[in-house]
Amino acid sequence: MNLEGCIEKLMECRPLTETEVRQLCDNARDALKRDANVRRVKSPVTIVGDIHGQFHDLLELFRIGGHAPDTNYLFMGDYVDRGYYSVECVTLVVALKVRYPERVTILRGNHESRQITQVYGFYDECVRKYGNASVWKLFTDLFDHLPLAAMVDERLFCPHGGLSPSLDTVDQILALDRAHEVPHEGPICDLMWSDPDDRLGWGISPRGAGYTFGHDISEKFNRENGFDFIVRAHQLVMEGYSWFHNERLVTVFSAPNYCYRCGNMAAIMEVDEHLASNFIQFDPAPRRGGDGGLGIEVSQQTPDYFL
Amino acid sequence: MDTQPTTSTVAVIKDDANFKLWLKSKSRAALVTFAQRLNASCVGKRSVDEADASGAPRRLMAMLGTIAAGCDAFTPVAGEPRRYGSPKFREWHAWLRDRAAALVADAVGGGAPDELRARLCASFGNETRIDYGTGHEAAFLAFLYCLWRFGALTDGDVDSGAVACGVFRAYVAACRAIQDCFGLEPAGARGVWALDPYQMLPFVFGSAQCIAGDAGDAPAGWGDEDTLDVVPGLDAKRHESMFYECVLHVRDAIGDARFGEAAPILFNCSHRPWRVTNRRILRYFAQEVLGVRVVVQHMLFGDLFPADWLAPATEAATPAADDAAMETYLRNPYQTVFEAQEAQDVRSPPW
Repeated sequence: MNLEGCIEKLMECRPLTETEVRQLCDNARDALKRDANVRRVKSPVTIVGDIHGQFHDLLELFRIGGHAPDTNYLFMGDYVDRGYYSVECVTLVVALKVRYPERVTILRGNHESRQITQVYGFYDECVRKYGNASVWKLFTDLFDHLPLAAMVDERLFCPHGGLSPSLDTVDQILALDRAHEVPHEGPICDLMWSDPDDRLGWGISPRGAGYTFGHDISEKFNRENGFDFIVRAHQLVMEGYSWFHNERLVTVFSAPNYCYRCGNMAAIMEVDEHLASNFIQFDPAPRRGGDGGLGIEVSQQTPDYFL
Repeated sequence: MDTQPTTSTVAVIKDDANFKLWLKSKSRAALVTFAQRLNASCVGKRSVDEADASGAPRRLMAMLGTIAAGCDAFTPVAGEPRRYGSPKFREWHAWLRDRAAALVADAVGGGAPDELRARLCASFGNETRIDYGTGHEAAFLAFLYCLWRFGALTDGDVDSGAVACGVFRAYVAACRAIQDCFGLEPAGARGVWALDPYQMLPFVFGSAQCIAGDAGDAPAGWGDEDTLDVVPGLDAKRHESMFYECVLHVRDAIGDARFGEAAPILFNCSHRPWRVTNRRILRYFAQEVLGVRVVVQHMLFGDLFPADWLAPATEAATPAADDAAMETYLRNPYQTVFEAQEAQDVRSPPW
């Protein structure tokens, strides 16, 4: 397939055809199968948190952080749902992965799931843009092959959500069989759903999946696995990034003014070849009357949520 | 903490077994019926200000004003450490907990069961997570239901529209003030694919307010198809319906973004008859709020709104619903007030 052409088209916020998506997902599956459950990533790399269909902000992110392959990227999941352009966002990051498999890493977030995307928008957006659910099926089948976490120079541990009471070591994660839908419980679910908390130890998560974990848990995991700290996404952060657990964990969130009204800044985390980190914050891309417009027709084409 | 240790009003839906029992419980059906009754009370009614109300509804509206004004003493300070919402919300919430029993007693004009206090405290957001979602709104619906069960609200209060168009509207205003003051995080939000990140019931009651007797099938018409924005001049109709207030709130919240992009589902409601919008959002509330485990796991149960399935003695004679009946119930958990028109309503566009 003409990958360069596809990437160019996507950069203009134009979705690929169903045939192109099918070819892309076939190629992506092969590339992702070569990635271990915990992908080893070399510095320098730029780490990205939740995107959630905010396509114009993703383009802004590339303008600020540089384009692949000049910049290496580690995306920590949640490309889809909630925003207006999930299809364009996920297609673009998958295309970049296929084009530059060694320089781009894409992880699985809790929204890269059949069940969650049927509730939070991606399913409906696919049906609306393609007239049927086949593109949703292609992508959600592909999501089963996304790695569960990454480690940068074996010093930074990067899952989408957090830690799991079932997992003490990276070796245990490497031994998991990941090629399934995100389960309702267990270690894979926890990596995608857990959150850090002020309270010590493990706690029941209000999200109904995963756990909350205290700084004692983060410190123990980092110490026993030789990590400096944990980099994760999964939670809205006012300043785009936020240190937690005595700097044993940092949350990175890359969707500015989340859902058009949360007023938050976004951030990306640049890690240089000496493993020094630098956070770049950014505001929403100017949108109104700007490039791309709506891309698709609204109103009468909108899926009916109330039927 | 969601509840105080002294209260017998507690969250009980902790596992799938209890969740399934809740879905087919009499309590859930009663709460949905109460929402439906409030909905029916709104048809053709304008919003009610405190000055125009009387009796318990007026006192409850004053109470909600006091609760909202309480924020002023806990204004967040610039530069305080926070992930998203301000931790000052926890101080405000402690202030509310200290006063809630007295506030409820004043509003109902005498002694009130502790259950009412606990329910009021659960209605404005979670102080641990510093967030607010439709579950908190449902908690306030349960508070109103219990006020009615207790006798503090009369059938006349409920059916006249004073509760929905007055008290509930004042509740939404209080919630907006609290959300804005502390920057509460939207809990479980569906982003642009939701009506609003926080509220749902004012869209239900507000769309009922807009239903006129001879509305026919005309679209609601408050959105401009070409500009994908709210039609100019809608501000002047703010007082006619909570729905307009909600639309204007969304418009103000999204700033420069086009309405049709930032809130496409809400924008679509402009192109449908009010009746259809009303029926669909009410059904959506019954299924997607009261029928979702992560939401109702926080729902409190007590004497006035009991976890009836935990009292097998009174249920002994009732055979368990079979699977087919359960399916039917889940698909149509209540009959709508506009059922007669339902057949002609079902002309939604194909996607």
